[in-house]
Amino acid sequence: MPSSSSSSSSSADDEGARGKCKRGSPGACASASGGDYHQGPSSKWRTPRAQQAYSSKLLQALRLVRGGGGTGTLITCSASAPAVRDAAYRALAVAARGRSHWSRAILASSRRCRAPHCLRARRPPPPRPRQRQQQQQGGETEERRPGGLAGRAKVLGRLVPGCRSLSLPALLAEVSDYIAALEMQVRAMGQLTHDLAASASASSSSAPTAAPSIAPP
Amino acid sequence: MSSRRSRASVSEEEINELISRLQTLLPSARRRVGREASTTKLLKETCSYIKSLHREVDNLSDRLSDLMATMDHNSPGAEIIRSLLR
Repeated sequence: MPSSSSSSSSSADDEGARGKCKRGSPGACASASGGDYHQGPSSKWRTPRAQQAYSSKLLQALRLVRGGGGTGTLITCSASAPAVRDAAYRALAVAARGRSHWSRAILASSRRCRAPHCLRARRPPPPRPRQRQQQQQGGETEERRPGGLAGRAKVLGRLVPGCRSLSLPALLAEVSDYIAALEMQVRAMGQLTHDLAASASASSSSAPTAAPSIAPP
Repeated sequence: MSSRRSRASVSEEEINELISRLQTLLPSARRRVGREASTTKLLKETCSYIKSLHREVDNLSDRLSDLMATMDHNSPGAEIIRSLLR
């Protein structure tokens, strides 16, 4: 892997960015698992330790969602998909340790309203009249016009929670971090789903009856 | 230090660097090596990528909630321990 070329081959440096610095600043990239801000905040999401930390946080959150301590009880209705999703985003925001705008926005919004549907990350806000007009008039133009950079940035700012009124450089930094965090979230949840499915099938094969009496394998 | 460079150009460099960093994160960067995309297209691709990631998270939480519903009858403690140990 070319370590001398700074950022020419960006795709190849993606994997090596953890161990090698793009900017070539020595000594700052010694630890791959630490928060090496010089390499870019997104690299911290790629370490296996980060994923494990997130998985354990997620598991804790899921246990809370399930009703806490209800291993034998029939609390199944609380484990709804929106609740799981909400817990996942909250765990992700906690994993970000509040260093980014989007994580703080998620934590703030989850504290404000406990309803699981109140995740404003993916829902557009109640349209202000100015935005509505813009959307109606400029909704198509921002797709056609190549110079609609501001429009694109605005859409992007709406997608990432808490970044609606950020300047462009700050927004880009947030987006990079958010994308890396989301990728890690997808990886961790997929792994967890896989593990759960595997353990479910394993325990169901060992205990033929799906009775509440637990037969540990 | 160099106050001759106005703040605009310094932030422009910053923006360019952020954009290139963003470009490396996108899945299209792995397909097209070294291809320069316009900033607008890049932002549009970023939007769609974030949306697709959101959708994946939705799907996974659906599956997780289904699995958790069935897990209540099995031994959830074992899988938790197992997951934490992996």
